[in-house]
Amino acid sequence: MTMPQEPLNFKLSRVTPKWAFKQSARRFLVIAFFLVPFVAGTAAGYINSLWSLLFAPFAIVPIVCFLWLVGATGAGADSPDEYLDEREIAVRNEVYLNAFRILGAVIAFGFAVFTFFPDLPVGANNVFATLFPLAILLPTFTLAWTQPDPLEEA
Amino acid sequence: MTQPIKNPFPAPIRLLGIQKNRRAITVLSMVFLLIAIVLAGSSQGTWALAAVIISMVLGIVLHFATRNIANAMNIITDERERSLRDHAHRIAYWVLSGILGGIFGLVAGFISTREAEKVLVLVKDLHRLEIQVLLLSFTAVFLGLPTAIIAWLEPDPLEDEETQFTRG
Repeated sequence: MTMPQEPLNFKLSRVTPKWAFKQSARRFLVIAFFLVPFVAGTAAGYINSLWSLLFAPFAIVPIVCFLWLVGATGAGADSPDEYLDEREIAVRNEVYLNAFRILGAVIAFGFAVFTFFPDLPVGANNVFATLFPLAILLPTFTLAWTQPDPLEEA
Repeated sequence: MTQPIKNPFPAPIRLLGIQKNRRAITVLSMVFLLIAIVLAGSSQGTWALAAVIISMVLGIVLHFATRNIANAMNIITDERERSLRDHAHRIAYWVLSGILGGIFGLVAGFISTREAEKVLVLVKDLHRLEIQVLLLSFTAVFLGLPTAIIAWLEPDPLEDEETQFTRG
């Protein structure tokens, strides 16, 4: 009899550093995910020479942040029903309710920006490129932000 | 001894409780929305507006048919309704995030190319009825999708719920 293979996102929990499991650390990672590439990209744009390549390694930061967030939340936002117990399913589904409302706020904000500031600068594509993955990653971010600290014995 | 009393809801409202009727209204609402988008695309703003309004009215009917579970707060829902509400939002989230991801991707792609002018011309035309209808359609989808999913998933009411109420 073959054992079912462990999903990749569960393996991430084992390689995620212990400090990332705390709620404050998870919130820090969520902020870093957006802030670091935005600041690095803007700074690189202003320098506008070969020296701007020095900022290239910062592109790794959001990837690492996201992988650690998935690990720190036990992949609770993306797991199918068969890998979760009843409480985890309820938590996961409630996360989607909140994520749906946040997504609505982002869409409304986007429409407002387009309506009142139609003359977007060409560099605005950086902001849209930052927002592009938001729709996919938002449930994990919401779970990482709201999930309390793990219990002491866990 | 408990006395059965007559169902207090009038017949048309009771009919909304039946799953196949709810599904029919859901499909009808989606069809009108699709018609609105097609008409807006072919510059027939007035007819498109009429179609989107009909779709929204059908959406409001669905809100009544599902007792507005999709937007109910935790304190007025039981565990089953809460579970259904959150499950519907999960499905709606993945449907909408695909649409949103596509829009953001297109806009990011357009702005970074020489085609940017086309997007900016479109955006400057926001006062056009056709563009407003498209925005209204998107708003209707966003506000109505979880309700439509609940209307589709919620089973028929139990026999005794539908036909008789008991006092006491």
